[in-house]
Amino acid sequence: MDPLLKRRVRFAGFWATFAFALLAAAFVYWQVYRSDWLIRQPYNRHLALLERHIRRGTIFDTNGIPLAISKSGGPGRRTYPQGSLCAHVLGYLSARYGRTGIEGALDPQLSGMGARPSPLALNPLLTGQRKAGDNVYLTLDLAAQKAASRALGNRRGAVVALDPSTGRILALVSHPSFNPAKVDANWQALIHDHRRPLLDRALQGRYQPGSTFKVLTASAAVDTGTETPNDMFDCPGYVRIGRFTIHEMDHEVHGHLSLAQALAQSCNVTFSEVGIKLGADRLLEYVHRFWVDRPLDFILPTRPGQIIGKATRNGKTGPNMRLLAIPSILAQTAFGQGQVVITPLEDAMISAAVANHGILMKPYLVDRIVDPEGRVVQQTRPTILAQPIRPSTAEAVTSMMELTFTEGTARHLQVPGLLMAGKTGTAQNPGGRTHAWFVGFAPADHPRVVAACVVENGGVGGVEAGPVVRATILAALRYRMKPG
Amino acid sequence: MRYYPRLLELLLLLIAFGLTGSAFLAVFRADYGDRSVMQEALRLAWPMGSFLAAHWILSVTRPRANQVLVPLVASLTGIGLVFLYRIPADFPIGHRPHPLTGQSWAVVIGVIAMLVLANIRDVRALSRFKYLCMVAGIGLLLLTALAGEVVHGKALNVRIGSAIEFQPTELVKLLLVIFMAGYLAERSRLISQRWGRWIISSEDLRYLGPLFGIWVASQMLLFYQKDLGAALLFFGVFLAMIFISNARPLYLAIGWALFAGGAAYAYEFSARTQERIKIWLNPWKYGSSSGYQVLQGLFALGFGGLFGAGWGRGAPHFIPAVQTDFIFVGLAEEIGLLGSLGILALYLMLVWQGLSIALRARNNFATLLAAGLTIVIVIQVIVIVGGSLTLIPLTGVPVPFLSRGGTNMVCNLALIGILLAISAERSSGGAPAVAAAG
Repeated sequence: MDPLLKRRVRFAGFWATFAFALLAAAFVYWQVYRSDWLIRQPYNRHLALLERHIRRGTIFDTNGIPLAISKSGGPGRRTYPQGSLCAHVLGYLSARYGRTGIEGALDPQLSGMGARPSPLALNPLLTGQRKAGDNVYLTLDLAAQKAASRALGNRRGAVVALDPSTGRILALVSHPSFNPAKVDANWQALIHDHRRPLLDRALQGRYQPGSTFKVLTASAAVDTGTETPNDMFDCPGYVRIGRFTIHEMDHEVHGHLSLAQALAQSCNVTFSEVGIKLGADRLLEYVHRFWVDRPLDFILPTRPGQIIGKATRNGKTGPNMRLLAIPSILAQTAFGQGQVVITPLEDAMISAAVANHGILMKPYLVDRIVDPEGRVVQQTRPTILAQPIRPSTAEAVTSMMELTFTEGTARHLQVPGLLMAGKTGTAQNPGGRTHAWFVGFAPADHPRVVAACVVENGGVGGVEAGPVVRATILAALRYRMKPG
Repeated sequence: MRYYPRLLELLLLLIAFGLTGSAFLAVFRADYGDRSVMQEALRLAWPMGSFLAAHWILSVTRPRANQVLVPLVASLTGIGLVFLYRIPADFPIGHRPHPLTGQSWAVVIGVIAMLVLANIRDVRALSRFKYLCMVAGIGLLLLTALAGEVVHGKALNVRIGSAIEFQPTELVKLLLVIFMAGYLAERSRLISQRWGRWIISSEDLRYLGPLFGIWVASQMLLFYQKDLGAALLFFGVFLAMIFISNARPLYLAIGWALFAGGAAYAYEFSARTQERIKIWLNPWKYGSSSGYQVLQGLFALGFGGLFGAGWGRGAPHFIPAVQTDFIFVGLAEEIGLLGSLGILALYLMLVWQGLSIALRARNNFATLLAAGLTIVIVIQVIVIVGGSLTLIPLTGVPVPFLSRGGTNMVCNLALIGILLAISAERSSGGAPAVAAAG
């Protein structure tokens, strides 16, 4: 036989071996390196097959009260003992319309498809050892959630309550709500309802914050040294800025008053002057420091707030500074009108930073994930998100907010024996009647709960939203004061 | 050894039977444990037994033939049969094992074909039929193009009578290799040419012109039938055999130019090719439509992981064509990475055995024939496994010895028969050619 032929046959053998090595590498890539990733793909029909054999994990509130239960395998048999109370937090499980809320965000863990300790470990699902998904403990306090929902009643709006020293979310209510167990059946009605029950107003509803925004303006003014709480102002009931005149609500005349009193009385004239003195750049800097305009790393989708419309200059899109430079617009922005829109969560976060010595804790909703054997798989630890203001500023603004309860717009909301701080807001908006706002925290000397509430087109903040916040705070505090 | 000439083959066959038997027991326990074990085992026992019968016949008639090929093929066939048995015949309504009758008969007929061909005393005699092979091959392709039944959008099957159906392209693979080996071996000047000559002489045209003509004709026929997998296979075998007979870069350049031209033509004028390329580039985009099969295959791989779900614990019925083209992927889910690498190793050993037979063959024709037949196996595995792993665009080709399909099984076993015949007439009468195998 020809020796050249022999050499070429060997050469062919070499290339065949090389090609098989590539195939082997591809097998390693898909079966080990990408295995976990593939298992979690939504198109993967294996998931549905396995889910039928695995009991989905339970979702509990912070005290171990079940919010979502599966008695047997399969996603169709999910029950929600609290009905529509926590619908936006829990989300829904639908084969047709997807998975949302905690059910969606923690789907791999709840359905038992969480990551394996290592790709080399046997997949416990496939070996049939795994019978149930992980259980999830939320930070939500069902007592506070119930109180907030009851106080809000049939009105459209949202309530957010959180612990300022840790960032634990205690209540997250959005009305109108829906029954998560009946989403498939009611889908057409839900998406055509003009009141938009599927929208999570607490995290994604953006509203003009009205006077509750003065907490941020006051913090910025005190923190930068532009003003002190005792600086005096005069309020004749209106102020003329350029060709634009800003009136007090109901044409009230506040007269001679300090900055602290201006916050307590919610004086727009004073805050117009403070805003102009502070300037657009510094106001925007504090908006940024309080994380209002930044996306938040949160388990559920949130929407960042906006201080002024966006504009593109020199190829960069950012806040329209030219518009904010107009004094009348800057003045309106300073007391929460103009083009400012923020979510109830962000409103609560501003006051939470004030309540927590100027330190803004990162809000979180999931306390821990526990496997069926009771081992803690994942535990959230409180983390600092930012420090927007100095501790001294925080204390000064807290005292100013206490005045709201002692002599300001929330006098009627006082609770005997409990020192509270807060701010009312009545936001004019293009949609008709004013949005009623309230944000508050207690006890003011050692804050444990911050709550914010918006009632859509509700009317006056202190009347409509204030009682909701008070009920939520009391429920959260009283629950904790119980012995045991 | 004197008294039992093929002891190694017997020992390796016992390993193959052990492998198949344990796989069967795992499937039986997982899926069909309520049935009679003996009755179910019998379904697999008789096709596997035919390999044992082949071993005894070979011991008598061809004691010097290669002893590793038959056990390797028996292992692959056994694994394939168990997997086909495991997929419920009446999914999703019931839960009944596949009766395997058709596939078992194919194995038995294939083993008989293997034995017949293995007993050819002088393989060079085959080269006398090279033009007959060519004519028969082209004729079969024409027949398929004209009278073929359309399956999955391609004309593949030809029906004889009412019961027998066969896929001529499977047989044409063998005929093509015999023709090319005969044609190229005859032109020994071509074989001894050296590298680096770039001028096309009249000799080149005279030698290779007809070959290219036939090749283009067969490619056009396959293209007309929309059988991209077979077209790719024929192209690969053709180029590889030209390369082995004459490694001049000139011919390789011409071959690749033709391939590029053909691929561009196919892409331009065939919606099917365009679709395949699109799926290959981004299967996720077409996950619920045309890329569904590829994605389900990848999911199966992911679920298999390192150790696999275990026999009977996967979900092969999610993958379209899991009994034919996608059988390797379906298997990979149940036997894991270790199993799929094991099967790949079986193929690699088969390829090494085939090429080592080519190296020890008595003449140029036998060398080219053995190498060409081995390359047929190599390219089938690369095209379908590479396609289902998204290394290359997917084209449908059955997996040799694993996939369901009678013609494929018979032709691949016949191919092994020719390799056995070549190995039995080795040039040097030394020790049996058993390299690092088993």
